[in-house]
Amino acid sequence: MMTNGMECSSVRQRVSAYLDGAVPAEERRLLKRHLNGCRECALESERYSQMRQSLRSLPKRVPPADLTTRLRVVASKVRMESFGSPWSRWRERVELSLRNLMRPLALPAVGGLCSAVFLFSTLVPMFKSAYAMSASADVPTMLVTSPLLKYTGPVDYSDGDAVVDLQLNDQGRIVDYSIVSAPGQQSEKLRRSIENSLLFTEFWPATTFGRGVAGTVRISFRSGRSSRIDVRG
Amino acid sequence: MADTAVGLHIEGCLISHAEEEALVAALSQRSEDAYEILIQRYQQPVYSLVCRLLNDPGDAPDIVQEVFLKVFRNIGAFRGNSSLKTWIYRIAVNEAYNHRRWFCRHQRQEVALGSEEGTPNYADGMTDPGRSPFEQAADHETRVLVEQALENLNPKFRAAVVLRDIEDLNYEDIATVLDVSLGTVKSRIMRGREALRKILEGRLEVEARVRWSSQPVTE
Repeated sequence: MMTNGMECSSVRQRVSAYLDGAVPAEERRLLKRHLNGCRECALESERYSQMRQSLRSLPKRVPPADLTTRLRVVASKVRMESFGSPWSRWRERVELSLRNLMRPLALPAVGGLCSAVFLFSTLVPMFKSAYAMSASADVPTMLVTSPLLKYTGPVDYSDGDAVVDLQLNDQGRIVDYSIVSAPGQQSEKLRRSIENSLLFTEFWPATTFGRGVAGTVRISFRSGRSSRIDVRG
Repeated sequence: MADTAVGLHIEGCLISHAEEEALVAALSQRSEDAYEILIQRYQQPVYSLVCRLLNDPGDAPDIVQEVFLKVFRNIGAFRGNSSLKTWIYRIAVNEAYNHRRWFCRHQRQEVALGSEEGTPNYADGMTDPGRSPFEQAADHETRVLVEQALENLNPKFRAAVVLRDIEDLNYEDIATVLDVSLGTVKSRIMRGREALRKILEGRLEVEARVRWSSQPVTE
């Protein structure tokens, strides 16, 4: 049917583009005039318009929650691909793997090292040799004491000043001695005189944490008007 | 920071030409912020488009991932002859077509599993607290009918109609996205709408009567 210079079939082919505003101005004017005069074509146009409205009112599809994370991972991969040579990328990957491997161990390792240092610094005196401790010039404390003279016999010494180191066992008894200095040559007489003086001499042993340990003392014999023994632990 | 210097704080739906250039430049420099902006801006539209071009929306996340992978890798090939959105849509449409071809070749058996956990369907986000439950039900029915009609449409016509009526692209952009002439775009949209109208013929009129009966009676 021809209305206002246009066939209905021609109008219906163009009505879709007409609704989108995608027809030239002159054609648009003719189409508008035809639609005003032709009820069938106007209804057709209205149906298209309604359908477009239905399509436009369709809700947007909501992406799944994990899609953003997946896309971020993709972005990260592409960024990594673009940086550096394959060799440096391989090296970075190895470094990253190592870092990830070491990270869980780092804290326990440092903790273990600190604990070891603390324990060693606390316990090392217990393992230190008693001899080394007693020979040292450390000031005696309640935990570590030097040997003390317990008793001695009557001293009859008149062979000049001499200094003697005594080795004591953990009971405080003399096990050995050595003459550090003596007047003139060490004669048999001097040796016998020192041994006689030491025969009845006994010591309180050196102690570490309350336990008797072997130790050493240095004593000096002095001859004069009155003989005496000086003891230094 | 370099990204701040080029001003990549793009919000809203519209993006100016200068902002788009800045975004593309930052993407070319592999800027993390630019990737994030691109994801935030185009994730939903691309997902929506891909969903409507595929018969099985369950495949859409994988396709969208492929689309973004291609966008990230080939951003250097973007010459600015069209808008960034058009360029991305073109990749999305091609990916959806490729998937459909693969799907048809392998004749995958479809099993109706319903809506999977975490996979929203088109009914999501339809609630409109301003409307009565009856009207909401009528709207829902209309939308389901339209979605079904779209699914039954020839894929080429469907792409043209979706890009025009749902994504609101103009004819020139649709021609670029589909890589066809302007005349072909007009033809496909017209034929697509015609086919849709035939599929929906009668159904929407029933729905219209239902809606009419739901109007409140006034004295």
